[in-house]
Amino acid sequence: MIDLTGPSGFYCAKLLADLGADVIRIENSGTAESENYAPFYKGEKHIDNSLYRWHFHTNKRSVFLNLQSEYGRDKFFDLLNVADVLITTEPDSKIVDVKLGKNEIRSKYPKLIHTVIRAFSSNSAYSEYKATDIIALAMSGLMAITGFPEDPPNQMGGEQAYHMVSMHGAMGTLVALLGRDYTGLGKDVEVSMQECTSMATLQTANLNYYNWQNLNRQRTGLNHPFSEAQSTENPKHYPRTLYKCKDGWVSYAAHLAPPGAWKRFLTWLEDYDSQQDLKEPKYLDPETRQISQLHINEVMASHCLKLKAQELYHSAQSYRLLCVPVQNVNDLITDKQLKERGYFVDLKHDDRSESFTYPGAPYKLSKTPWKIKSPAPKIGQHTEEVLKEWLALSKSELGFHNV
Amino acid sequence: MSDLPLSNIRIADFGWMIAGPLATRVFANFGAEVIRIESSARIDEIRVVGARPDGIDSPNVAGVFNDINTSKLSMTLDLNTKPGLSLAKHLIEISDVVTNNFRGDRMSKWGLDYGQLKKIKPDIIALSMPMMGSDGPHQHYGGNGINIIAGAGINGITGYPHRAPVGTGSLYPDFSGNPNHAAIALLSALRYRNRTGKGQFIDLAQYESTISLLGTSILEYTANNKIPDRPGNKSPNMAPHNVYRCKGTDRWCAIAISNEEEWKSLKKAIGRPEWAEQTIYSTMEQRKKHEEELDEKISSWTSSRKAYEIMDLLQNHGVAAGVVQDTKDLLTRDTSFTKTHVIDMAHPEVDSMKIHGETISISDVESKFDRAPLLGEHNDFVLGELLGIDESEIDDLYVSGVLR
Repeated sequence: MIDLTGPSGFYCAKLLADLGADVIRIENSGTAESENYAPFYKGEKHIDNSLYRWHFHTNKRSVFLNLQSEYGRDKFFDLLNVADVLITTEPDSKIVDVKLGKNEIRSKYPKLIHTVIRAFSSNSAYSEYKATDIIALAMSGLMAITGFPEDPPNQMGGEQAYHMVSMHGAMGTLVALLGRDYTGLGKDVEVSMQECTSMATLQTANLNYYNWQNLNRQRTGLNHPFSEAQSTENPKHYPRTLYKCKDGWVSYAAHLAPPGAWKRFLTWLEDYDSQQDLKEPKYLDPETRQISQLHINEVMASHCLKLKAQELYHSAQSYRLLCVPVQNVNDLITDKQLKERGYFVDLKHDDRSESFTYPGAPYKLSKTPWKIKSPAPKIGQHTEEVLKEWLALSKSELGFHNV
Repeated sequence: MSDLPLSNIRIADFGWMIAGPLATRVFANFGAEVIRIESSARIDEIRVVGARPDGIDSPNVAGVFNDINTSKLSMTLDLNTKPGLSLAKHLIEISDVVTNNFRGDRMSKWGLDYGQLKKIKPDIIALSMPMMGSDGPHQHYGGNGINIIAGAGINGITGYPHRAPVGTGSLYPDFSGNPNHAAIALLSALRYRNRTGKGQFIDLAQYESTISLLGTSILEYTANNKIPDRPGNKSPNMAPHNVYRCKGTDRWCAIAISNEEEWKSLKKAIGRPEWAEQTIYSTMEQRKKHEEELDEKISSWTSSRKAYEIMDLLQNHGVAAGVVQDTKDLLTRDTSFTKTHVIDMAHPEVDSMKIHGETISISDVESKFDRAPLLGEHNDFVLGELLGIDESEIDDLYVSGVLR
């Protein structure tokens, strides 16, 4: 696979590389500046210290080619001849440098799958509009339902529009590969950040809320985003989703509790003498509980304030109650479950003495396990290696053009 | 439509609620025969919760259910009866993939864990996706999107540092890493099986799969010993980078400047005001340093203008800008989104239903986009056509309550 993506497609190519695809990035002398993304290792601003690069380019190889030069373009076309997949991002595409139209790719490389990760659909009036992560979050509808009503809308952390479109891009690429296994024909695959990110709104801001009830979902802060009772007339009926505790926060989804959970919830509160008046028989009636939601929230809130997050977590789960703390990276690194399952992986960087701990497999495949074999490449690190392997070029043919 | 890329795949889908069924949506839309195995004895809650049309009491009309189950078939089977379970096993015998997202050992109680499935169909690909995965000390812990997003660390990097870790208004993991990673794993496992004849087990812990969406957060801690804070609407690589208040009630436009060229374009678009030429805004580092004042200056320009006009003006100057759109905007204002992505789905029980279209478009391939199945709509097809059971026997199964 040839990875010619910008940030919206980095994770797409990483997903495929981490499953074993031979992914090569085409880079050049401009890359060190244009992709010098923070944060940096020890804060030292240099492309080789970019943790962004470290994270998103695992298992990829880097080939130095200047696509504005004839030599670079020629070699690029040769690589396309033997590649299965080309991944590019639009509208900030580097593919324009090779002066190859979309239709030309299809006719010259009939077996090639070309996956295009776009900001907006190519059929949209906004097709040439630019979007970074926050722009796509805004335009997709996801940002409108994120944050407190009294604050500006919030972006989600961790560039989730990039992740959403990248995952859909990887899915589309694999669907096309499976199809090609039967037909021998490559395809153009397209996904857009706006559409893919909008998929994350389809429950809380389902299009039919507006279509059927004229309900136009907005951000609700800590109140449950899709409480049945959500209406302007009766805002008090929201169950809360987050509660402050002694040393942080816990999430508790009472609204979605399985049947019978009310009694287990009471037992849990009683263990800490937190039940107040909730043992009164009237609360056995779900309707009473709904009218009294604000009071129940308050009882839960004072219960949580008495305890630490991890104690709330494990004691609630022992009663099969859906409670999980708001965790930070340190909580994750020290989490027993993740440790036992070996989620995090240590990776040695060839050029450094230390190993670094990376996030691990999003899935465990028993026969074809996800694996990080190599850290992100240096720019051009694999030029000779890849041109030899992919194009069977000899050292002399590589010549002085190499770097 | 036999020419669809996944038309030779059959999936026995035991998924319920959201994350499981959403994982197989892409398969169904690209031609796989995805059979929901469900029961009216314990109805999949997603058939009834969330957006519903007024006055229709039916398990077939809920908005979310219809969104995530397009192009699938539905078969009702009471798996707690012997004949019901045996029919499920017959269906697995002729399937390529078995999926579920139950918590704990539900599948093994039916004898449908991977070890057993392999005996029924040696090259089966089985996907299981409980919150914590299939082993470990917390394997029986439960939660849904609200809990997973908090536990996995996304709340911790969302919102303002001085505010509560608000998370998102979406039950995000149910729509993002969990179904999408599951689909990616299944597709890659299918390709491996096609090449080698070998099936496999996919253990997707929704907790882990969501942690994998944190970007650089883990490395920031493990390499730099820094716990990332909630950044508000800031980016370490861009300034200006925020949503800016516009004319009207609660109207906002996002603007993101990635490089100096775009900064120049922004200055030009807003009429080259004097303040923008100050040296304190002349480089990205400087703008990051003076971000608060910069945001105020930009807000003073945006606040008297309409959000869509700002977006169009800035985009025409080559600046990334986008309106914070809500559902009403998406359906009534963003006609491109409605045209390219929103489907008006014909449904026998509802007059109007709006469904998110397939996100992936593939050249010369027209993806399927059939209505989500009514509960048990395809019982006769699955039993008769796929399992070759004759009509009178099917009648008996109905009468005995196996097909409920």
